Amino acid sequence: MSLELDSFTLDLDAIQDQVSKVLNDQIYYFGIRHHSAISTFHLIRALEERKPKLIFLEMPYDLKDLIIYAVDGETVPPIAFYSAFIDNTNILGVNEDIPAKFQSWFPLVKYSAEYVVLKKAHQLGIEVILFDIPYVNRIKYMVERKANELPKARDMDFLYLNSRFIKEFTDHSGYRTFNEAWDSIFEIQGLYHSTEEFRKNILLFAAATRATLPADMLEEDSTLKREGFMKHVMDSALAEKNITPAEVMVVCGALHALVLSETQGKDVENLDMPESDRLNSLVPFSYYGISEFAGYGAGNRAPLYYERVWNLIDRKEEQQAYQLHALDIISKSISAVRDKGEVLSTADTIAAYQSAILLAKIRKRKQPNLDDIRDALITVCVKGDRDIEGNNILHALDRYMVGSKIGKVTEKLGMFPLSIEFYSQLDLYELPRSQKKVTLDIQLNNNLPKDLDLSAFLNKTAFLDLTYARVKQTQNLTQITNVFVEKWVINWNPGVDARLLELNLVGSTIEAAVQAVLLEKMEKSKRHPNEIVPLLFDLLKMRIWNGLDAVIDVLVESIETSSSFLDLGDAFSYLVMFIQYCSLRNVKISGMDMMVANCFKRACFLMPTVAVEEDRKIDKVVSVLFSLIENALVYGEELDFELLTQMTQTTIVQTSNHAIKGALTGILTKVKAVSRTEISRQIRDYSISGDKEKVKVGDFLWGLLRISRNLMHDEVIFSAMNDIIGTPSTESFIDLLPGLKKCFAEMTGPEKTVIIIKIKQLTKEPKSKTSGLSKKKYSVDTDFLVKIQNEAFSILEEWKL
Amino acid sequence: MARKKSNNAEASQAKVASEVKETKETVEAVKEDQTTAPGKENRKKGKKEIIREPAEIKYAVELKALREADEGNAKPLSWQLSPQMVLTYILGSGSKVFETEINGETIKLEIKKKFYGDRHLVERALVTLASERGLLLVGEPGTGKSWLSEHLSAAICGKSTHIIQGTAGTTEEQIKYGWNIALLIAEGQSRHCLIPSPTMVAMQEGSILRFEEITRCTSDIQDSLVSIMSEKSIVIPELPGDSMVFAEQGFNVIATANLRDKGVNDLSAALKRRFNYINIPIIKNLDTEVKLVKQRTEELLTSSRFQVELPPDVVSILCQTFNELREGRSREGIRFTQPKAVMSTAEEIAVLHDAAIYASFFGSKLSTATPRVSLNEVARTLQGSIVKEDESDLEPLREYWNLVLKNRSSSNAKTANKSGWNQLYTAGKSLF
Repeated sequence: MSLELDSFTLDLDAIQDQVSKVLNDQIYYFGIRHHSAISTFHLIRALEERKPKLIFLEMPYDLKDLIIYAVDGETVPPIAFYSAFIDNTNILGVNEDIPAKFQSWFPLVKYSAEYVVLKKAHQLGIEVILFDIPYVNRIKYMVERKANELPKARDMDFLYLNSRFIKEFTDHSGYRTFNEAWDSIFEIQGLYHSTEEFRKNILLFAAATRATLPADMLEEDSTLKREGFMKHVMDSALAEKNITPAEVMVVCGALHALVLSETQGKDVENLDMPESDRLNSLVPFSYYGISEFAGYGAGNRAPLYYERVWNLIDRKEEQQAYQLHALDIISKSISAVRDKGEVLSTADTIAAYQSAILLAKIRKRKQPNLDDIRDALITVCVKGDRDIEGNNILHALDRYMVGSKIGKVTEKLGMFPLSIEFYSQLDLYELPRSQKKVTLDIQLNNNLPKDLDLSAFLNKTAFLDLTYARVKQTQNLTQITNVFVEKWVINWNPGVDARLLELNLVGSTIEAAVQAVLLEKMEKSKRHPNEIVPLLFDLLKMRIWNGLDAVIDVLVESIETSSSFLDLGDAFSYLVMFIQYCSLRNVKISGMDMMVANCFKRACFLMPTVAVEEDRKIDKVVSVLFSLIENALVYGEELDFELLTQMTQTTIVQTSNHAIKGALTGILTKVKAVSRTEISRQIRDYSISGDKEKVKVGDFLWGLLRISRNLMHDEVIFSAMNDIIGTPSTESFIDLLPGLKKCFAEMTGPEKTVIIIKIKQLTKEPKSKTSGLSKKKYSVDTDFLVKIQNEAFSILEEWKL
Repeated sequence: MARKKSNNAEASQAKVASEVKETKETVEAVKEDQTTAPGKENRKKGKKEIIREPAEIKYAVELKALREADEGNAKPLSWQLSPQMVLTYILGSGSKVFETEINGETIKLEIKKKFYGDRHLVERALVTLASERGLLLVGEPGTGKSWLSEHLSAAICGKSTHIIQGTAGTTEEQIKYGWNIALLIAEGQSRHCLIPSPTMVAMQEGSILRFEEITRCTSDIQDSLVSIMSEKSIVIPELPGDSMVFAEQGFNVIATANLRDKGVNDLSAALKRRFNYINIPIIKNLDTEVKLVKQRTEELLTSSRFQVELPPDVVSILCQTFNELREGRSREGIRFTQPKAVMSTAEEIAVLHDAAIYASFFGSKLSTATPRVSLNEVARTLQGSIVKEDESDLEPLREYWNLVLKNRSSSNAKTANKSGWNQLYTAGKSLF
C-alpha cells in the first residue's frame, strides 16, 4: 500500500522516478527516522532476510573506535556518543584570544535503529562502517559559511519541519504536529505494511519533503557536504573490499537514502588539529535528555512510551502494540492520580480507553497513539481548567511517557582523570549520584574544616558549570559569629559526565580546570570591571588563593581603562560588598582600599557621560547611581565626596533627561549638598514652565525618590509635589499620568500609607479619623480612599473626557 | 509529463461557486419544505418570517449533501452522520466540494466553517457523544458553547431544538415530565395526560437534549439528571404498570456552563462523573477572530435583510480593541484596568452588528447605495457593550482611551492604520 500523495502540489512523476531508482539500486538503501521503533522493526526484518556482508551506518566516522563499547553486554541504553573539541590552534578562525569550544551528543535508545543495527551486526559478525562526516569537519563547514546556528548532532527533523509538503500534509490531515503525522502514517500504519512497502513509503515521504524544502537549505545546513562524504566513504570501502554491491546495506536518514546512489563522493579536508584537542567518548544518557531533544535534534518526545511499544513489538504483538499500551498507560496514569486522592474510578479508566480508541478512529489511525491517549485522559478526567484540574493526570502521564531511565556505559571504556577525581570527591564527601534532588546545608565555620572543604568543592563544580550543584541561598547566621550557611541543591544528571569530558580538554584535575576556566572568564571580561569583581567572590568561595593576584591585576587594569560609568559604578558597588564579605569571612587582601578609592574616582569622572544616555538605559543608570551612593556612604569618608558632588552638579547641568536630573539631585541630597527648600523650588518650577517641561515632573520625581526615598516623608517636598499635581490643565494632567504612575507604583505598602496620611493632613481631615491609621500600620483607610476617588471622579466628569 | 496539480482547479472552483449561487433559490425552497416552524404557512404567504432558523434548517442542504456522501461509512447507532462527516460539517470542508440533488437538479457546494476553535476539541466532543457520557461545554460567556452545541445536535441527530434553559427557577417537571391537570381530572392518570419534557422527547426519539446554562439550576434540580444519564430512563411512579420511559439509541445530553457562574451551583460529584468536560477557550488569534466576527456579522445582517458594508479596517480595529481590553494590556505593553464586562467574541459580533444597523439607518452616507460602518458607530455601540451595570464601568474604557488610543492616534505614533485609530479615539472622546 503506497503513501497517498495525490492531494498535494507535487511533481508526482519525478518523485516516483526518484524512489524507483533507489529501490532498484543494487545496493540496498534503507531510510529511517532516528529513534523510530517502526523503522527499527522493519530494518531488522530486512537485515535478517538479506544478511549483508557490509553495513554503512549514518554515524560520525570518527566514532568507530567506540562501537565495541556501545555493543558491550554491560552497556545499557540510553547512552550517547559524545564529541567535543577545543580549537586551541584556531583552525576555525573563530577567536584568537579565547579558544572556541564545541560539543555534541548522539543519543541512542534501546530501539534506535543505529543501536539495534550495531548490536545485531556484532551478533551476526557483519562489518559496520560509520560513514557520516566527523563533527569537527561539519563545524568547520558551518563556520566558513557563517551559519547563524551551529549544528547539533543530527537535525533531520529540522529539515522536515521546514518542508512545504510537511506543512500542507499536517494541515490537510488535521494533525497538530509533525510527530503526530509521523505516528499516524508510519509508527502505527507501518505495523500493517510489509517491510518493502514501508521502505518505499518512507522514501516517498522523504522525496516529497526534500522536493519542497526552501532553496539552498540543504547546502546551508551541510546536508550536501555530509552526503558527499558518505558517498566517498562508500566508494572507498567498496573499492578496497572484495564485496559486491548486492551484499551491501546502507542505513541512514531517509532524506539521505534517497539521493546517495546518485551523489558524487567527496572527501573532507584533513584538519591539522592536535589529538589532545579532540575527544570522543560514550556517556550514559537519560530519557529526560532524549525528550528534550524532541522536535529539533531528532530526539523523541516520549522515550519510555515508545520503549514499551517496542517491547510489545519485540514480543510479536505488533498488531495490538499501541492499543495494548494505551490501556496500560491510561490505567497506570489514572491509578497514580487516584493514589494522590483524586476520585477517579475504573469506569473512568474504561471511558478514557474507549475515548482513545474512538479518537484514533476519527483521526484515521488504526490504533491510538499518545496524542489520542492524552486527549482521552483530558476529556474524561479533567473536570475544569486543564492547567489546574488537569495538572495531576497530565503530570502522571508525562512520567509514563518520558520516564526517568538513565543508561550505563561499560567500565571497560575507563574514565578520564577529571571524572575519576570528581567521583572520588563525591565518595569522600558522601555526596549522592542520583537524579533525585537533595538539599544540603553547609556551615562555613573555621572550626569545621571538612565543611569548608566541601563548600569549596561544590563551589568549584558550580564555577565549572558541571550542573551538579547550585547554591540556593547563602545566609549569615548572626552578625556576631560571622557564621555563614550555604544552602545547596544537588542532583546528578547525564550532563555532568559530558561536561567533565569536555573539561578534560582544558585540565586533568579540578584545580587545573578551574584555573583554565578562570583564565577564559578573565579574558572575556577584561574590559568590564563589573564582570571581574564577581570572579573574586568565586575564588574566595572556592578557597583558591593562587588565582587572586591574577584577577586583581586584570581588575586594576580594567578599572584604569574602562570608559563606562555604568561598568565602573557597578564594579565599585561590588568591590565594597566584596570587602565586607572578606571581613565577615576573616579574609584580608591587601591593596583593596586603594582599588576601591580609585574605582570610585574613575566612576565620578565618567559620570557626565550619562547625561546623554539613551532612554532605554535610564533605568539602569538610575539603578547604578543608587547603588553607587548607597555603597559610598557605607564605605565612608575615605572616598572623595567633593569630587562626587562636583561631578554630580556638572552632570545635572549637562543632562536634559529629567529622570537623571532627579536621581542626581537625590545624590546631592544624600551628601547634603542641596537643601530641601531648593528641591521643593525645583519641583514647583515645573508648574510654571511650559507644557513640554511641565510633563517631565513625573520623571524628575521618579529619579529623585528612587535615590532618596526619605524625601517623601518631608513636609516641604510633599507639599511641592501636591502643588504640581493640583495645578495642570486636563490635557497636561493626562500627559503627566504615565510619569507619575511610574513614580508612585514603586512605593511599598507603608510608603503608600504615609502618602495617604499626608494627603489627609493636607486636606485638613479631622485628626480623630487619622488616628486609626497609625494603629493599623500597613492598612489603607478605605473610607478616605473612596472619598478621594469620588472627588477625583467628579472632577473628571467636569472635564468631560 | 509532470502531474502537477492543475491550475484549472481554481477555475473549476469558481464555476462551482457560481453554480452554488445560481441554485440559491432552489436551496431556499428545500429549506422551506423542511421547516416545521409554526410560521411556515405565513411565510409562504409572505406575511411573517422566523428570526432565527435552527441549524438543521438553515444548513439543511449541507447536511443532506453530507448524508449522501457518508453512505457506507460506519456511524454510531442512530447517528445521521459519521463522526468524520460531523467534523466536516462543523469545521467546514475547505476547498472540497460536495454534491446533492435538489428538485431534480444537482448542486455543488462547499461546507461552511461554523466553528473557529481547535479541531481536536471538536473531535473530543464527538467521541464523548458517541460514548455513554454526556458532554459539558464550559467557557467564558460568548465563546460559542451554545453555537457548537446546536450544530453538534443538528449534525448528529438532525434536531437541535430539544432545549432546557437552566435558570434558578427551573423545576424537576421541566426536566422530566409534567401533567395536564385538566385532562388528569377528566380522564385520570394515563400517558395521555402526561406532558413530556424536552428530555423525555429526546430520549424517545434517540436524539440529543441540549441543557443550556446547567449551573444556573439549583443542585437538587441538576441531580434529577443523574438517573437519566446513568439509567437512560425516566420512571413515572404515578403510572404503575406503565412506569418506564426508556431512551432510544442515540440519546445523549449536551450541557453548557458559564465560567462566570463558577461556584454558583457547581455540579455534584455524581453528576460530574456523568459528564466529560470540554473547555471552550476565547479565541486569542486576532486574524481568526477578525475572520469569525466578519463572517458571523455578515450572516446576521443578511438574515435580517440589511445591506451594510463592513470595511476590513473597522473589523480589525474593533477586534484589536476587544483583545486589548480583555487582556488589560495594549499591544505596546501599556497596562490598564480591565473592564468587568464580558469581552467575548459574541459581544464583538453584537457590537459590530449594532453598529451596522445604526449605520444603515442613521449613518452619514445614506445617499450611497450601500451604507458603510464607521468607527464612529463602533465607538457608540462599544460604550453600550461595556457599561452594563453602572457608570463606574466606564472608567476602564476612559483609561484605555487616554493611555492607549490617544498615543496610538497621535501625529508621531508609528501605528498601522493611524487614521482609523484616530477616528475611534475622537469618536470615543466625544462620547465618554
